[in-house]
Amino acid sequence: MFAAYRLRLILVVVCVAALAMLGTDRLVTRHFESALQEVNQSRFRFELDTLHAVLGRRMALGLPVSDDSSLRSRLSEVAEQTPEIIAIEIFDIEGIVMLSTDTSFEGDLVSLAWLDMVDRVRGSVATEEVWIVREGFVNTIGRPFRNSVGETVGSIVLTYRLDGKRTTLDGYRWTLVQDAGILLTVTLFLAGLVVFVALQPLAGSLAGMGERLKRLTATDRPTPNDGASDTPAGQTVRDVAFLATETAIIRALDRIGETAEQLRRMDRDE
Amino acid sequence: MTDYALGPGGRPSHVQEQNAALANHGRYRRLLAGLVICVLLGQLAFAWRAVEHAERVLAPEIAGKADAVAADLADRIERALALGIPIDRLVGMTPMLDDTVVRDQSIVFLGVLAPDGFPLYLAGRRILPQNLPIPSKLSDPNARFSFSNDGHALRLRPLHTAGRHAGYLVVGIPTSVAMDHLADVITTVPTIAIVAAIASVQVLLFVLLSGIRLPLARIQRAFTAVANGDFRWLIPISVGGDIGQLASAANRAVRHVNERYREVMLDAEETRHSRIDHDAPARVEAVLAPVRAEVTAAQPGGESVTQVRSASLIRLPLFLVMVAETAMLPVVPGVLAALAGTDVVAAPAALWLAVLISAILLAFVAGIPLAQYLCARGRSAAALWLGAGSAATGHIGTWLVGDPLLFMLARLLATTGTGLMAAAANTLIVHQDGSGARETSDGTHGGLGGATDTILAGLVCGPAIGGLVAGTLAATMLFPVAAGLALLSIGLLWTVRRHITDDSSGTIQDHHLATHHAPWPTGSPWSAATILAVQAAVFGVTAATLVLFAPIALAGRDDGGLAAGQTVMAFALTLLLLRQPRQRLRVRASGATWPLGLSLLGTVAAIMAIGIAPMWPGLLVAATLLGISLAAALALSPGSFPAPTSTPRMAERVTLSEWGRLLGVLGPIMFTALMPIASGPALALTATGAGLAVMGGALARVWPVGVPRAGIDSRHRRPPSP
Repeated sequence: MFAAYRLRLILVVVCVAALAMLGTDRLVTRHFESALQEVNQSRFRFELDTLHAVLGRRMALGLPVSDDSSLRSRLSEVAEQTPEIIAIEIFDIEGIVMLSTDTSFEGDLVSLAWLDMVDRVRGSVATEEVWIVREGFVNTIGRPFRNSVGETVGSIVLTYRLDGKRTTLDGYRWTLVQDAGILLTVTLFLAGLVVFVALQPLAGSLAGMGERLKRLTATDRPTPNDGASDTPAGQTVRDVAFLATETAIIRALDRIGETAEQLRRMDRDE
Repeated sequence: MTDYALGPGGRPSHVQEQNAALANHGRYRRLLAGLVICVLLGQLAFAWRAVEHAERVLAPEIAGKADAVAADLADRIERALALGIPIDRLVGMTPMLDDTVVRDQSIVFLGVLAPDGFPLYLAGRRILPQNLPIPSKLSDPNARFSFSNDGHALRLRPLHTAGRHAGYLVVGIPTSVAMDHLADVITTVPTIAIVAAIASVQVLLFVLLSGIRLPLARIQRAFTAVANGDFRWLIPISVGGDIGQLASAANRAVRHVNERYREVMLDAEETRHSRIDHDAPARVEAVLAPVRAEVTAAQPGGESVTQVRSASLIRLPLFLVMVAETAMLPVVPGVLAALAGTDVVAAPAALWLAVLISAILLAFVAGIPLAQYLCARGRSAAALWLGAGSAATGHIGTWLVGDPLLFMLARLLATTGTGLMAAAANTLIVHQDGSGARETSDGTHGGLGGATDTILAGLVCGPAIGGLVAGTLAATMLFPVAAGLALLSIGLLWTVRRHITDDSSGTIQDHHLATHHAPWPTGSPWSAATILAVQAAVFGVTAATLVLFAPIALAGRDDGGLAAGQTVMAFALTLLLLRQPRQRLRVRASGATWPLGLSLLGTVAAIMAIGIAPMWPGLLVAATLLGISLAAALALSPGSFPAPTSTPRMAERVTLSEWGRLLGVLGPIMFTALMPIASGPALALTATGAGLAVMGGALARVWPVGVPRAGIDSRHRRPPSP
């Protein structure tokens, strides 16, 4: 169906545009999620660096970590000020928690993933000492600290949740879906317009040709030029080979009619 | 009066010219361009909105960080103020602020202001932001203010000591920090746009061709026949709507004429037998003579159906298979390493990748004579089906198997199938449309140019799509996608099988289809052997270079998908763009001057690169430049090398230039696709392999080996169209 093919062209355009938007959506959303993580990570990184500096000053003075009440209160103060922070912990080189905002963790062994990251940071030549472990929307950011002679003696870690950011991300995705819907509708409309403008003359021309061919087999068949220039379809028809075809059919029918008449005349003469 | 005229014998003298108007190429080009612009507008507008939204949503997150920084610094400053030190006498304030700015590069502005707004200590950008309101004019000095003007998240926090207002702390972080994270998006969005444009062109061409242009071309053919008095042809009604109604009406008219003609003939027969006068048969014949001269009628029920073949319909299936295959290439080492249980991409994986690339080239080169052989024997689609079937089976196998060896065998099957299909499609298109670039019934360029464009389009889109899917979802997600594309390709081939099968059962062919045929070397067995030998030599150098040096060449990275796509895209697009104006360039370039000059330029650039760059990178750049310049020279100069085409005798021969040019274009692109995932000195060797392939193509190009076209044409020429 010609009309169906016009529709098919429009649908192809909308489908390709939808796929392109889907690809763009996946790409942008992934980068947006990453940017959201990075921006928040840099915020908590600042908090961690501040606490690390405090810890470093105490280590330089030779103060013990495990029963340092002022350090404990400082950690608690930071954790209370920032609701996203789940816990701040300080553990030794063996992975035993020395100080935590949640005192029930003290004395426990930290996760092997953390120790693995600490080992990696210690083994690398990079100046960047901060490591991060991501588990969905719960991130742990850590940094080793040294004693007064420069030996790594433990790490301070800050665990924070970004559950609230899930809403931000979902909201962003929903906005993109709405935008995609609007833009696909606009694309549909534009593609329809383009197809209509480009193919409508052809469709009119074809319809005109079909009508005239139908009349050829009727009793009141037209003469070669009958109505060709009277209608919009006729104007277009004149531009194509149709008139030559139509003329050939009419001439053939005329010739056949003349021949039949001559034969009849011969029969009558008999 | 109408403006047409009848020629001698009462027949239209300009039917062919008038019919050309029915296939108004300009209309379809405009339609295609308009629709592609619709796709691009939609996608780019979406990308713009997405980035804008992202920036808007991320700005408050950055402000949150500014809050945290302000809280920490205010806490420290207020502790000092609590000791009774006046705010303008604080020692170490500037170093503390400087240290903070150095520690966190995203903070561009830090300042401590007196209660009246006078700047006391500044760090970072040491000028107060223009849009910062003067604190002394604030109605409530204890309020915390946030300003996000001038592209910065600014935080103004009051400082207190003993319940008294002591001053302000100002923190500024640019919101462009968020845009840094979105920088990749901004560079990748055009890639997606180009892929979408190319893919939409391929799909729209298929829909236009199969749905509108071929049915109209059939009507056009039938009209031409009827206008010349030939009423033996009917139009197959494969579509409805306006086109179907027109075809139906035309068929009714043709049948009507045939019935009337047969009635008259029966009348004449009766008259002839009923008359007793001896000259009756002669008189009857005299009466019938004019109608017999003007009308060629069909026997009862003996009307033939008009057909217009178009191998251009293969382009979309070929494009899909090329996309499916090339999308896989960048991720194969990583997936194979994961299947083998190793952390890093192992050398054998890289070796296998080299084998895969070699296989696709080998299948392509070896597939051409096979497809030509089948074409020459009327089984043109057999190689196509074999290639498409192998590719689909291989992709499905890749998806389903979990063993490294089986995985690679499946990959090998898919790759070989893709190469074979490309060769078969190329041969079939050349077989039907001729090898030169010409306007075809779908309004694009046919022949070898059409096939090359499709292969290049697949090469552009494949790695980009592969990189995007692997990067945003997972590399393994590519397997079902590739299998789906391959199956879709088979489905499309099935739907168009009648239009591409090359039989000679009384069909109407386009006028140019009968004059150009595939160069299957039937003239001399030596010519055939020479062609195969040269092709094998060209390929052998490439394959050997790859297989021997690939373990060194391809080590290390498995994240180059999108980068590979962009690299290939840049190169392939250049070639695609250069394809169009090259006709004009060739005229101006007077023979071989232009391509040879380009090659010389590339060589000079290569030598300079060796001189100015360290050893291995210099060689890498040199080899790459050399390869690209030679490839560009070959792509730009079809037929402009003097040897094969300067004499009429040579012009009649089918030389190796077509295959050499194609190989010369394909080789560097395939290797360029690998560059982002290769590293070190071996990359130079890989690029050198590409250069050798191109030079092999050039050698084949200037070596006029082949068979005269005349021998082939006389064997396969179709009966003249009605």
